[in-house]
Amino acid sequence: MTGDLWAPHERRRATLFTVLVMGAMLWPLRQHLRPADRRVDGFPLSYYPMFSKRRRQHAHVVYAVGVLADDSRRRLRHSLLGSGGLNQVRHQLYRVAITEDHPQQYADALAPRLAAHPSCTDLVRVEIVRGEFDLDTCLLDHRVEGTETVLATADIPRVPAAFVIVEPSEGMQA
Amino acid sequence: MSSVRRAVSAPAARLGLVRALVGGYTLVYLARRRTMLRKVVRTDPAMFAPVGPVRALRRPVPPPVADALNDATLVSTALFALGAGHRLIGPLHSALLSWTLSYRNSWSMIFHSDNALVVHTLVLGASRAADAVSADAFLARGPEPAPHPRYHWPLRLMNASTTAVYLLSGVSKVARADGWSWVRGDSLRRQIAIDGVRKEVFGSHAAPTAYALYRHKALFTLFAVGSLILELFAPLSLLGRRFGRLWAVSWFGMHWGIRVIMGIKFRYQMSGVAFAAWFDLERLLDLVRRAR
Repeated sequence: MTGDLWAPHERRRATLFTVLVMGAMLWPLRQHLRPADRRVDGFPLSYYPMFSKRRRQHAHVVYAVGVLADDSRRRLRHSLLGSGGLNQVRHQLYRVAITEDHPQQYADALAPRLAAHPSCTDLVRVEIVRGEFDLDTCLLDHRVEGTETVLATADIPRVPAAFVIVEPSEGMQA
Repeated sequence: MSSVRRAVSAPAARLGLVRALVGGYTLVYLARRRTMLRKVVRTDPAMFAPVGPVRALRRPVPPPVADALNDATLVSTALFALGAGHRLIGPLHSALLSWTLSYRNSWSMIFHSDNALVVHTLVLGASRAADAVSADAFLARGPEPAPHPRYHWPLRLMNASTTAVYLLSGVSKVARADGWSWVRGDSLRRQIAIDGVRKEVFGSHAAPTAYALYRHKALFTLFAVGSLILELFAPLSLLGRRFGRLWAVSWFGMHWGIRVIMGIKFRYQMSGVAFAAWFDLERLLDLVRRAR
């Protein structure tokens, strides 16, 4: 066999593989024929649903807020809520709080984790909130402020100072 | 060699270089995420929403098993990039990478930016992408194979799959209930706005350019029309090599634009590796040889 020739069946396999790959890539197009609530996204084959969503001037976002002893509030960074990056954490929070309607479950699970985090020692409470934002106002005024509805709240457990166990050192012993 | 055959042939070095680039990119990508992946696989199992081949599972695998698979993927990536044992490593690496990235996307959020990487790896793994510029070729010590269609079809298929990703994105935009209204640019403008708001409420920051450009509605109409043309007419880029390269360079620029305006990183596309199959990379080797 010279280098100029195909190996037996090589060409047929290449054609079949090409047809299969391109067929699979385009297969998700059928999702557009289904009702919107029955469409299913996948990986690595997707119909890219994020581009199908209608974007309005007002938008809702579910997020977590830390409350301090003086009632001042601080939005919590995504890395405090979970791993995998901002969008993964956001999707997970939305899934529990809205899709599955268990915001209290999320808050209760988050509170002890925050208690253990060194950057959250000043927090006394965590709230899961649903914020409504006027996108034009936010972007044009460079100020991301919205109307918040509290979905769930949980106190952050703190070990009282009186109960902290101190290991006696040699100098403390009589 | 006839002109037709020449047109559908490619040097083995071109395909080999594309394999090395895709493998090298994947190695850096996965190595930098090893710690993050170890955390992700320890997420609350209630968040598990399997996609792709991971749909075979009802519940997550134990974290040590997931860690071992991630590390096996790193090893297979290195061998794939080197072109070592490609007949075995190529398909094995495709399978491991598909699994690892699908598993990473099985925690309630799908990262679509990895789709093209998985498909490109699948194509390279199933082709003779290590006949040149590889450890296999170095050890065989034979002459470099002559240009052949077997080195051309994988590159064409990679390009076709890339265009399919953009075509599907474009179709998704116009298949909405309000149809072609996407071309007005309002949806794009608001998509950028909502992305910025999400970043701010989750303790990050919206891209400064998003604030600066938001008031310029006409600009977003221009962006929307431009991106939609590049998406819906993507398959035309397969008709001619020059046109294809122009299309690839346009998308390379678009992804950097998205990075500046939205702060979203499509790393594979921004690295240029996603579009490498459009170019005569073997010329780089000629340049290196001449420089010696």
